[in-house]
Amino acid sequence: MKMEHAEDAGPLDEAALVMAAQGDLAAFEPLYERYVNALYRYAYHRVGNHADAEDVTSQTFQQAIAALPAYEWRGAPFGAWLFKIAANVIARRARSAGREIAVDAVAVYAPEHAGEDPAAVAATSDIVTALGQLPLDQQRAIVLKFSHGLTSREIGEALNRSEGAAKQLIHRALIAMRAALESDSDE
Amino acid sequence: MSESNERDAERLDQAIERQRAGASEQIDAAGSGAELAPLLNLAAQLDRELPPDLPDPGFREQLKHQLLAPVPVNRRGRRFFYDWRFGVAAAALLVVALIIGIFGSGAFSGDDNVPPARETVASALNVAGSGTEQAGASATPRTVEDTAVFPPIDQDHVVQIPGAASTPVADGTPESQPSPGIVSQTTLPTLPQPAMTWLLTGPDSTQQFLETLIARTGISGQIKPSSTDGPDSFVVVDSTGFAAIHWNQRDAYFRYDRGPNEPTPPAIRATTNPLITAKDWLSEIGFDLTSIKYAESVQSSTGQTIIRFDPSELPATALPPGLGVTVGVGPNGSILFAEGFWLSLSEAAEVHLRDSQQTLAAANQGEWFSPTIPTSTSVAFTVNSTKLSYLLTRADDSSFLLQPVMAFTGERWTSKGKVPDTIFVSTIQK
Repeated sequence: MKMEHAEDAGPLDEAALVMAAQGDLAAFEPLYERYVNALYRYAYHRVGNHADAEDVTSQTFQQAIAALPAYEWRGAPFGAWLFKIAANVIARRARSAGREIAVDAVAVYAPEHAGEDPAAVAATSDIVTALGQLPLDQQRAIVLKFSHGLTSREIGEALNRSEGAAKQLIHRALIAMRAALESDSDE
Repeated sequence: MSESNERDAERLDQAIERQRAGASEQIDAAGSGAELAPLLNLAAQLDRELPPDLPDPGFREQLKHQLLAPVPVNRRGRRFFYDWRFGVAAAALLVVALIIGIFGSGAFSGDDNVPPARETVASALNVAGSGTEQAGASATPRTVEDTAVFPPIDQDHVVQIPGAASTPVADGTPESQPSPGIVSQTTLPTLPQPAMTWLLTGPDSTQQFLETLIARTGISGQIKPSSTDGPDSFVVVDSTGFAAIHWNQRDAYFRYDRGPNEPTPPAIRATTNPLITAKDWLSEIGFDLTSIKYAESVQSSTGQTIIRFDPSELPATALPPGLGVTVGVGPNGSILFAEGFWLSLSEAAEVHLRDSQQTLAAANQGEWFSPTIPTSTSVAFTVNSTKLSYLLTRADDSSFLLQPVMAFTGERWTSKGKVPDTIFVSTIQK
């Protein structure tokens, strides 16, 4: 499994996915999976915190699904449309919060690791892959610990568990990730 | 998980925090520390390389479910608060929103695919219903138009836990009774328009619920009908004949008591904090601590700590014991008892109320309820104070409505004198 890149799908493939989703909402799932991380990361960098990034991501997808029947495929990546909706959502939030922010032209559609060392990108890719193989509660614990920087007590509160249970969850998750990474390196 | 694993988890957590603080971690190569070393290295790698802006996987899954789930129906195969007028209005709103989306001007000129930066589209979506918005979290709750869904406020539908309410006793001298009727001696209040109402659900199946509870509490017992807890009540009797679990399916009310012969729990919990122990235990047995937000209060006494979980975002019910659950924790972390409603929050909605004069008039036409006297009784009642309250009412086998009622508090004449009492009257606009 490779690290997610929004541009992995070709335009024709994506057009077919959009058409399918216009006929059946359940078919929107591949598009959601393809863009949710990138959209969230875009939102996070614009709003600066995870809670607001979650709100922006939610609103963006809700608006996209509401407007999906009227969406016309024009050859541009579906993600570009999503990011424009996200930019609108962010701009509206900023206005309603009483402050104006510059809404720059949306140019966030670049590869996530452009210009980075390929070896470093591969290592991160392996980690994210191993992370994705964990049970959901372990994934959450790891992301909250190492991506969001929460303490074990805070993770326990977020997951509705005790601090001790959160520590054990992280312990188990690291053991499983290590095994997965070692298995990958053996192959 | 063994104590050894708990210790390792604790050691690893401490080592990660020290490593983050810049300390050079020394691993005890002879002990279990050697096993922690590669985990610590992986933790350092995650600290360095895991992007700081990943979404919480739980959020990802929840959002996907909200967006893609089909229009949910409750367990009876219909939306509880739904009626056709709502559907037509929602469809019209959605059409308008989409027309605006198609022809309106977006914030980004040159791309009329982009929906405009207006709330109408999102609102239309919410109303038209993915319908999966969390009850209470919905920005614009729907209004209940078909008020026939509200159970009447009477003995058959108001949830009353036996023993929770006490019957007032007259202690005065007999007086000549006035004519029957409910008379207010206080200014009647203006009721809010609209008011909130909530749909709550309990377990569907007694058998499945109790079997799961037996497995999760670790009791080896048998399910038997209860002869003392009212209709649709059951007990789980352990091997010594002790009734460890009482379950009232009709009211979705449970009680667990630790048996006198039950051994001390073998598992040493990860915490000595009774509050966390109680929350962990409730989670372990499958009690829903998420759809309803609870505020905890802790009371310690000799030999036990009693933790009360009360809903923090729902109104208190006018009749005891109130929604929520109480857990007693022993000094060794054992659960001594637990008792409460086993409910989840399904939907929140708004409902229009009749005014307080209409409510009083309805009371005088016999449309009142008292937990202590039958409604067929002719009463002479003087109202001294009024209050908009909430009662939990049975909608069907496993659905409950927390609905607004007017509480008239005052004095009721009896053959032995006046007694303080409260009667309740539905405020739902029919």
